[in-house]
Amino acid sequence: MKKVLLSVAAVVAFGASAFAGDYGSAGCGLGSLAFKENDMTQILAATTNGTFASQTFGITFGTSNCNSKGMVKMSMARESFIEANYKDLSRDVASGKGEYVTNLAKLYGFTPDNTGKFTELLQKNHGTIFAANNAKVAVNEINRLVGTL
Amino acid sequence: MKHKWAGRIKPPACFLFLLLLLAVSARAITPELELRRLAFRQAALKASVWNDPYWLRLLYYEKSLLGGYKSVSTNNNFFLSKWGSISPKLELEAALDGLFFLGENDDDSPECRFPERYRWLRAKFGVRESDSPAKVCKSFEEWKAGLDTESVGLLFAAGYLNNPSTLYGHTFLRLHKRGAEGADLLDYTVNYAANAGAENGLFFAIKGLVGAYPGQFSTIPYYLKIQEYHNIENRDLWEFPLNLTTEEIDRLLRHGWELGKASFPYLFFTRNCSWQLMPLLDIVKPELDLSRRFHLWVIPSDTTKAVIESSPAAEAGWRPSLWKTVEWKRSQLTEDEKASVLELARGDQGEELRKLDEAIPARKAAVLETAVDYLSWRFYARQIGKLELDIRTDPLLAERAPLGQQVTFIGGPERPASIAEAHESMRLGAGLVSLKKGPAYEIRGRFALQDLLDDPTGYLPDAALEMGSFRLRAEPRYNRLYMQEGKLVKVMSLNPWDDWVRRPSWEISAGIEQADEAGRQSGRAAVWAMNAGSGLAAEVKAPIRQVWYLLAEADSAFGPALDKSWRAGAGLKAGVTAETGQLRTLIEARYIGYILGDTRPLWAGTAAASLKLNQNTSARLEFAWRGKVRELGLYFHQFVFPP
Repeated sequence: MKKVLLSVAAVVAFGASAFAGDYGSAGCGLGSLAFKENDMTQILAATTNGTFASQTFGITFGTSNCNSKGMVKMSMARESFIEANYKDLSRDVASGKGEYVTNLAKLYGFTPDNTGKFTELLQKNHGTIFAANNAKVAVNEINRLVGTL
Repeated sequence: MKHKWAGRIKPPACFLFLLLLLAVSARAITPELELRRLAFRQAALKASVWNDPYWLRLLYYEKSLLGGYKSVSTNNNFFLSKWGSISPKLELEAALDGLFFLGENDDDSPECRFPERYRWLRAKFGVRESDSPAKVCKSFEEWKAGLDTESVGLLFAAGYLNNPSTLYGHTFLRLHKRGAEGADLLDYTVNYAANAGAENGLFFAIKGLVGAYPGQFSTIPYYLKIQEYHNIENRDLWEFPLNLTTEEIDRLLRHGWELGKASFPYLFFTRNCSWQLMPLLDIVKPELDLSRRFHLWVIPSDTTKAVIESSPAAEAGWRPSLWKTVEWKRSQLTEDEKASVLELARGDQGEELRKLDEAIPARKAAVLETAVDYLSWRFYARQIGKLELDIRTDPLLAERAPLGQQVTFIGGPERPASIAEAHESMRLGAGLVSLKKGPAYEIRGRFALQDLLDDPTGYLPDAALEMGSFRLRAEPRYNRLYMQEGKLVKVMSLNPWDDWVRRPSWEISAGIEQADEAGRQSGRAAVWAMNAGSGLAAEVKAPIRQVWYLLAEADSAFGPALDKSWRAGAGLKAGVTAETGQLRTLIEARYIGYILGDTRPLWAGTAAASLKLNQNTSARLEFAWRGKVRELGLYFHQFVFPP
């Protein structure tokens, strides 16, 4: 009875609003995390096209960045990270500090001792990396810059 | 039959066929192995090993009404036997047969698909290397190495009133990568969620209530969960260490690998995101014994509390929401700098940037950083679109980067009390009521979670979130037992006005109440009432903290006590809450005029005080009026863990 009552409550109260249990799962894929204007629930959700045939633990994302185990492909780890955290990363790079730039440094193989060098390099070149507001440009520029070190 | 068939195969095909036969027979079962297989089956039979609690747990078997077993998993890939979902015995026998896997590729073997089941089987039956050589599970080992887990934490995303589906929060596991050295965004999480279709609204809710959506586990990068909870939904993220041993972590990963093949019916109230972590943790660490504690409904904050209580005390991790970060940075700025941030974010940015050039670099950097965070919050709060976010943010970052390293903010937002210090979710109470014509006795209960007078420690401040609350009253004068109130739901979100946030306050509620204004005898005026309100709130900090609010209300009710059996109208509600120490007070009044149906107006209000006696106990004194009825009640409240 209690359950019935509570169920009715939810239907009555939230009938018209989206009752999303969760945003489902989303993740891998360059180009998949397109930020749609003012459409929050889509930001993280709209990547998988409903391909949920889990062969193994996790989700077969079916996009190029993910392996069959629902993990970001090692070779695409940097790209995925840069794209998914583009705005936060841009902010941290401009400030020359913060966890997003530290984590990216780690992905590029920098240790805590020389992360400062990476951060400084990116901060100096913030414009060329982020001005285009395009994750692919940012990836290419960062790769190029790291190559000059 | 066999000859006839073979005779039809042309020579080249026949050759291929022979080759295939040879390849398979490279690992043929020998008579000795066949005897071992039968011996294992017999041993299983003799000791009824399929009744072993761990076996039943690993496959999520539950006793069915007819006395048999049924697994909760609805995905057949989770079983080796065709009848695995309803027969622990046949599944165990299939698993034993699976020890003698003959395929070439170990990765395809049952053992590599279900590593934890086979670890247990091997130990239980004393399987020797000569019976069945250990398998090389390449895929599983690669996956495990990719996660490279050093420790595990339970993450709790605090409640969030602006999305009904996650009012009560969310829980998931985080797998800490070895040697992360602060780069912890690169961890993975173990998340259980419903794979909902595209439906929205009512249909979605109903499907969710009857379990029509399959729930599945997934490993989502931690940084995506942060985007979701910290940024998009603006919630605090708490982490409670689970203190798992290396063996327990291995078990989590082995069983996690198996769970990839399972799917469970997802039920919003019971088998939800939070529940399914309980049996998983029970497998990983049986002494936790968590799933036994939940029956009728499961709230993430309750599962979190249950896990905290069962784990050794450890310091919780806390990641403040995006807004808390902005608010904290703002608190470090001067009034002029605050105005400058607002101008950069909402006003004439070009002009303000020129003015900023006069500031010293460190202060300029602080203003720019705050403005960028504030714009980011505005975007996630849906106050601006992506285009405006980019147009306004890019010039600020372009100004900030050339300033180089600057010391702008030190420290961080103040950490609030964690859910561990919060009262339990369910509330029971008893009270003595003085009415004009005599006393009444009241029993009350509420399934979840808080009202404005309950101590909000660990929950959301300035909010009410009530589901299934009822007040049963006995009035000796009429020898009558009746429902004074039966609220299905009430949500109230007071957001003290802040020029940076500009968020209104609101409430919704639906349930049964006594329409005393109809002039009936007490207990004879039950109506079904629904209302919604929206308005403003303001905070006053001295001498004690108060929150004042004024809401415009839309109200409707249905019931035989009303003329024409219904009414609809609009009105105003005003109130103030105040708190000092363990004492909280609320004064609230509302006036509703009805234009349709029964047009008699409603004038009602309450003045109440609640004294917290300890974490889970409080006393409340409440004076209320409605129509011509006045009452004074003294209540005792006890919070309990849901049965």
